[in-house]
Amino acid sequence: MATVRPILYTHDARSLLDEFLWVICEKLQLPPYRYQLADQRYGTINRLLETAGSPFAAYTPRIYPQGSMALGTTVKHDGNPHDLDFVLELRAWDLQIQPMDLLHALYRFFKGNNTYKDLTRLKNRCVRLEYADDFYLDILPACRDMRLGGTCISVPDRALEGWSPSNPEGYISWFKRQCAVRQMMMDKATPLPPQEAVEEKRPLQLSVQLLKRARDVKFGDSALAPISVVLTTLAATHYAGEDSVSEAMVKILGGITRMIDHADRRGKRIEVSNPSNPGEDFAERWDVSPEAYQAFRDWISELDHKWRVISMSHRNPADALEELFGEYVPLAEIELADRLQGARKAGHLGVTSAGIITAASATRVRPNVFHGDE
Amino acid sequence: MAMNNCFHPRALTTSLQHHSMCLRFPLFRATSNHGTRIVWRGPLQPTVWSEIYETEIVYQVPCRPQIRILSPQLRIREGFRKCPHTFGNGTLCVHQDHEWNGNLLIASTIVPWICVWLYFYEVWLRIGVWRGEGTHPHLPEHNAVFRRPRAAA
Repeated sequence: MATVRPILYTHDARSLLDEFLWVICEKLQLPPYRYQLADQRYGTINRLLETAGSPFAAYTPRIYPQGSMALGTTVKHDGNPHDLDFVLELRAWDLQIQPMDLLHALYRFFKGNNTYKDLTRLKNRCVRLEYADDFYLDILPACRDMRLGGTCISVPDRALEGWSPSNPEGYISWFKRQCAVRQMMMDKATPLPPQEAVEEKRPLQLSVQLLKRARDVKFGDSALAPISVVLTTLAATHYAGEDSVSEAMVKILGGITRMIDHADRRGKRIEVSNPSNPGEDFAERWDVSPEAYQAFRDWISELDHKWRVISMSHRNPADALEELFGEYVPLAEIELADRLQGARKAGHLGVTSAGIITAASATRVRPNVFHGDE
Repeated sequence: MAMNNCFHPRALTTSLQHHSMCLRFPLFRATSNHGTRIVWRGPLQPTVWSEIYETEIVYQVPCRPQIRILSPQLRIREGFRKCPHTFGNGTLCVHQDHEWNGNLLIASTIVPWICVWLYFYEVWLRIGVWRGEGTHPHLPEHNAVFRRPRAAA
């Protein structure tokens, strides 16, 4: 089954919770107009890098999205700029090029362009374009990894003063396989995948969005916050194809909790190896920041407990959800009420013999207007 | 009367109303039934997460049915002086006068409207806005969100 569509009104608490979660995710993902803007900017940059005057034109550059945009797991950040990651891959081997030369060449390229010179910043592994409207595009220059081959690439790393291995395409393929969505076909200058409406997303993608949002609410700007790739990898590892988002979250959080317990018994931290490059541990920073690992453990344990309570609740869990996901919850409640109001006006509602509002039932709700004294 | 230009069918009897009520809402029972006046009581739960509301409907043929929630008692959200879309005596107002007459079955009009009313009442209690529209849109509960979110972009 390629898509899971929410049921509108239902007798069953789990489906009602899933519907609520779908709408929360719809509210917290990158809004469509921002997505289109990113798409346009990325297209413009791609053409610029390919033009005859570009120092990269000879290397048949290929630019493609990576990270949340490619995975369909974007989440808005309260008041913070949205950063979107792209890879600029050159048809060249890493052994042929000096990593720092490549990074600086890309930086100079944008600095020398009138449109981009004031937006351009040099970061550790990428060149960042800071648009005035709180939008950052991070461009990672990359060459092919001679040693590992395949989709593996090498990216310059200023801290290492050398190459750092990466495999974003491999990661995307792995994630999509975990989602059981057909693997994206990567052409030259892969277009951004059209942004999926929430109802077309797999429960894994929604679970990643919910985890990232819960992380943002819990940690804010704290340096202790677990990084997105760790959450995404753990979620995709423990997702077992559930069609229900709430059930997927139960499985994912239970799986992470068991992993932590298992590591605790061995006196170690959990490892989060990169599925597309098993030598790489995404959780390495926990070695230098044990307090961040402790914060992660505490947070997962708390979230696992809260989620089990929410998923079994026979009462409206809106307050508990608002504690986890913040202001998107009342926004989602309003959206659900408005959808019900729309269905009511169209005469699509019914009620069961117990009075439960459903999409189809023996007793149809005729359109009516509430009245009363002022 | 048959020769009159206006067509005035006789209102449905309480026994017909009661018959359809028993069919569609079997948990409702008539607590009193005297010819042209009938009182039903029964439970309604608009969503699986909702309270179960013990509801009373008093119908005097062919007048507007009086609807009251017996338990749990309706609550009034802080900052409001009454529940939206209720009359001064606390009965619910689920329709405009022209939308209902004695020829319509209460079980297929009034009762479903009560369910939808209860749904919007619960949303109003949580969020402070009445999203079910209605005839007093200038009242504060019809205004936009009171708790304005931080990140509305």
